[in-house]
Amino acid sequence: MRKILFIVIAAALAIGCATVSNIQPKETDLAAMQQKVPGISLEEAHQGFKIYKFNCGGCHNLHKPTDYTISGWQKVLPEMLGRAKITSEKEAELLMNYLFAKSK
Amino acid sequence: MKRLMLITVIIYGTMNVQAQDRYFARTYQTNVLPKGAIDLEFWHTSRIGHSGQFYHAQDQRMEIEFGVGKNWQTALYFNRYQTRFSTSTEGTEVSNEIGFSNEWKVKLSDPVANKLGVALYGEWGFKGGDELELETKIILDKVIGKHLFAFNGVYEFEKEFEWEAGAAKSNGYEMPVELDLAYMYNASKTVGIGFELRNHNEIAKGKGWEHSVLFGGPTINFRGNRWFVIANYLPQWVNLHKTNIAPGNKVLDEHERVEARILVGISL
Repeated sequence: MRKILFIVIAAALAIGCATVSNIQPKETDLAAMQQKVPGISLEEAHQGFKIYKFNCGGCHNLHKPTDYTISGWQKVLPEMLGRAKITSEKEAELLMNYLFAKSK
Repeated sequence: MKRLMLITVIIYGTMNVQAQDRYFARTYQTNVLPKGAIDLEFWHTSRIGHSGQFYHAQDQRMEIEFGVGKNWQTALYFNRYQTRFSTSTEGTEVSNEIGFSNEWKVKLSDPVANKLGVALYGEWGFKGGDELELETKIILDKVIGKHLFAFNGVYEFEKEFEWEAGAAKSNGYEMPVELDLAYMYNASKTVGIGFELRNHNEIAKGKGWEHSVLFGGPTINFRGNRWFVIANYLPQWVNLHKTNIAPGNKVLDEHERVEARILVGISL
């Protein structure tokens, strides 16, 4: 029983921590992201992604950025950003730019 | 335009809080509240039916959760346990106990942003002034569209004390291992229907692996912006590991025929 639990834990940690889904911004996405948010850098998109993952994912399962268009995100975000305790203008901007850049 | 939206967002944000999404009554998920967020949860669990006697236990818990930042969350629980049981045909007896516990949870990966959500969980507490409980969990979950899957591997340590001449003495301890598996289909933004399986393995000092009880039943989840209600009905199915201590197809002395839980979460 303990060996099985140990194997489950080790496998889960490896899979969970070492893998990312396609919602994480990548170098190959940059051109497409800059078409929606001109001037956005990969570093800024990464920062926005981290805020999205940690703050928004704390209260609910994350939506894929492609679930909404930019105007769809604009409707959702005013309420949701506040609930995620994002009160810094800089953090809000990073998050919005990431979601807009990866939107439908 | 963007600046106006940012200002609107920040003003709106200071006025709003939200109950954390929880989908299952038994099985934990990897969600961890953001720093500064506070949630309140009320639990009621009824455990009914022992072999050869009337038995009805009611466990109530009030939980307050805090997001402490950097993917950590803590919670305080105030617990009340009431058991009504018959020892003869003369009537029933009632026992009451209270307890306190404190949990800590850290999220290592996200069920959407990563291939698998992973969190580690630890809880310590006292029950009735004579029982110490420690509980550790690994929590795994995965979201695929409207489908949510979760698994908990739980390792507990329970030790009872007796007070003699001002000193605490203990004769032994138990180390149950529990495996919980859950699935939910989120039919809409406000309703989810699923089931939970709970496999409890009793392992005690000097007695070894006593039994392995499997429970399973439906869970339904209703939620709004600032609240959720979860109900779960969990009958005992079978004893998967029969021993001299627990030779039957079911274990109806340490466990019950059925457990039912209702859980209400609200934002402060």
